[in-house]
Amino acid sequence: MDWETVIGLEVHVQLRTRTKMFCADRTTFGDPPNTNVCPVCLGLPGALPVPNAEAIRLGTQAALALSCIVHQTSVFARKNYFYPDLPKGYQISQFDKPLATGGSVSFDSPERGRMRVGITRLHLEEDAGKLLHDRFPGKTAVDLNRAGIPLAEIVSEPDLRSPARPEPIWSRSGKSWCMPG
Amino acid sequence: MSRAAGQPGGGAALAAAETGKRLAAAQSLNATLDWSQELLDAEAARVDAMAERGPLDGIPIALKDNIVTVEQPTTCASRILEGYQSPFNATAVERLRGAGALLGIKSNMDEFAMGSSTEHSAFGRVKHPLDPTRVPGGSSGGSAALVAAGVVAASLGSETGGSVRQPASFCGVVGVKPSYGRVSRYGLVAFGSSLDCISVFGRTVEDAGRVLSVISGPDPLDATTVNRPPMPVPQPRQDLRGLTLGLPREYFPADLHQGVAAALTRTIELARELGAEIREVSLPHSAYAVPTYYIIAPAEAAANLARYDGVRYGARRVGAERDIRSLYRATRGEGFGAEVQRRILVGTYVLSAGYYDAYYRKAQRVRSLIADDFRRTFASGVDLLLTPTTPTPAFKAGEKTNDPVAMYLADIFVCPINLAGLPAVSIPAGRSEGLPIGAQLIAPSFDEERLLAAAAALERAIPAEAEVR
Repeated sequence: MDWETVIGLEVHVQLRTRTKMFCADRTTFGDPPNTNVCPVCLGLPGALPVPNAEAIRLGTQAALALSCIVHQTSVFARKNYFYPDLPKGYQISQFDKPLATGGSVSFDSPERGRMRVGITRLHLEEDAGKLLHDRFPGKTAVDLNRAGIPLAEIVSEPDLRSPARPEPIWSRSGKSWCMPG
Repeated sequence: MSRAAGQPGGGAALAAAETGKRLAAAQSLNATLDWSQELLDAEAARVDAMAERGPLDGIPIALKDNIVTVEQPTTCASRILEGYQSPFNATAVERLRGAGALLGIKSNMDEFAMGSSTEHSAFGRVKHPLDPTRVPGGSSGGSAALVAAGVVAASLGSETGGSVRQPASFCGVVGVKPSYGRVSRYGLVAFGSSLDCISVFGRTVEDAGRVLSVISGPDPLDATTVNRPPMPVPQPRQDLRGLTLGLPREYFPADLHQGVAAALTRTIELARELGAEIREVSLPHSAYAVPTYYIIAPAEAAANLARYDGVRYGARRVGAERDIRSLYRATRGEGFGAEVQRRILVGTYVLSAGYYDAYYRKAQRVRSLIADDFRRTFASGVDLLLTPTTPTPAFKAGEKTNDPVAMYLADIFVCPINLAGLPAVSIPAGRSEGLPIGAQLIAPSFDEERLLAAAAALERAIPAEAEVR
């Protein structure tokens, strides 16, 4: 039987903001556990999320750089599941009305020449926290510093045909993500 | 509104002492979940030390126990939050404090605000102040009973589907639900986020209006508050001249309780005497409000209550398997009462893959149609709508606890207004066999001032404590 390799990508890019997606906690990496937390990202009763304008601006820039259509109206939605790294019992993400859809990235492939990879969508969401299974014997520790860090999730069409291709696209653009403008 | 309800104004310390006495005397109602004389006295000291006298200076105001406070536990009348202490105050609490209100009383409620009788509290039911065998309504039954019993001049409750207007009607007090977005939800424990509104009980329309004016206005911590200045204290009207009141025929069914029908007939007559033009109107989609509400509200509740998992705060129970699933199962299975579990199950079901379009999406469409009916009616020259608040006066305790649908139908005239996001008020409209009956006025969004001004004129004209026949 002949098989064809078909690859689509889902990439989560952290947006370089000073504060989290829905609250004012810092996004610094490597701080002591559970120090960058507040009622909002801890999911305390009565706390409410307020979207980070800078995260939306960066997400919009990324969407434009990927030639996406940025929608006038996009909606945050709740993705429900139970897990100890998810304080609210749902992740705030985007579902049927994402920030942007219908873009593409073009590049030169050594084998196939000029290639175009479709970008299905780019949406914004919050990251979950971190579980540490090896610090305390028989126990799992929860660090919620990362809970609520802004992410852009970028989904591509299944346009790639070789694992050699994803690497140059995403590591090159992914590492820098220096936006035009 | 004087410091201790019904007392001439004195120092806040006097108000605290008097309020403590009244709370002790009303203990049999089971209307409170937490209060202490020490805290009331400390509140009085805080108020008396304020540099300026606020608009609610020394006025005792009770808070429904789903409004978070630093000084006291916030339990939502649930075992799962027993002893939970919030590290922050709700925005409404901060504003009441800033206005000089005397806080320190948390009132009993249906667990997580789910119920219409305040029988679904993990800490026992609240009794009706006029008849202990009856319910005060719900879910804000404790806050309603405290005002009705003369313990406090005003209190905060919350509405998701009528939970302030319905108990206001049952207890014979005023209950005001503002427009969605008028009062910050920051610090109100979420039930149905697209519906939840902090709302106010008062002995009079004026009292309730003064409290609402303090807590209203935009809040950067609640992105759904609307950027309008706080509501000014409404100036009561002397009459209703120039106002057109609509009577939606769907809210006056043939089988309406006779006492309720009689009270409304008299209220309509009085409105006409005050100069209002009365016009019959139709809100056909309101007939579907209860089933629509009981899809949307549980769906939102299922997500909002997912956070009570025993991992970070509140009650924690671990099942026999001692793994993460047994932690969830035991904590939530033992921590939530039956009605809360029922709604989480319904909400999870209507949101699940394959049923989403059939239930949730359809309910959202019907919700838009219900709201369109109101919009169209107000656009046709009707200023306010007048309806009964509830189909019957306060019912007996235990009467509906085994029949959830009968309980849900107690909110038939109030929950359409939550689905439409409109402001509305229930005012006492007389009594039937000694039990209070409420009349409801409904206004277009953000027209609270006109709503309360008209309600005050009617309130003055209605002999609220007189029997109707």
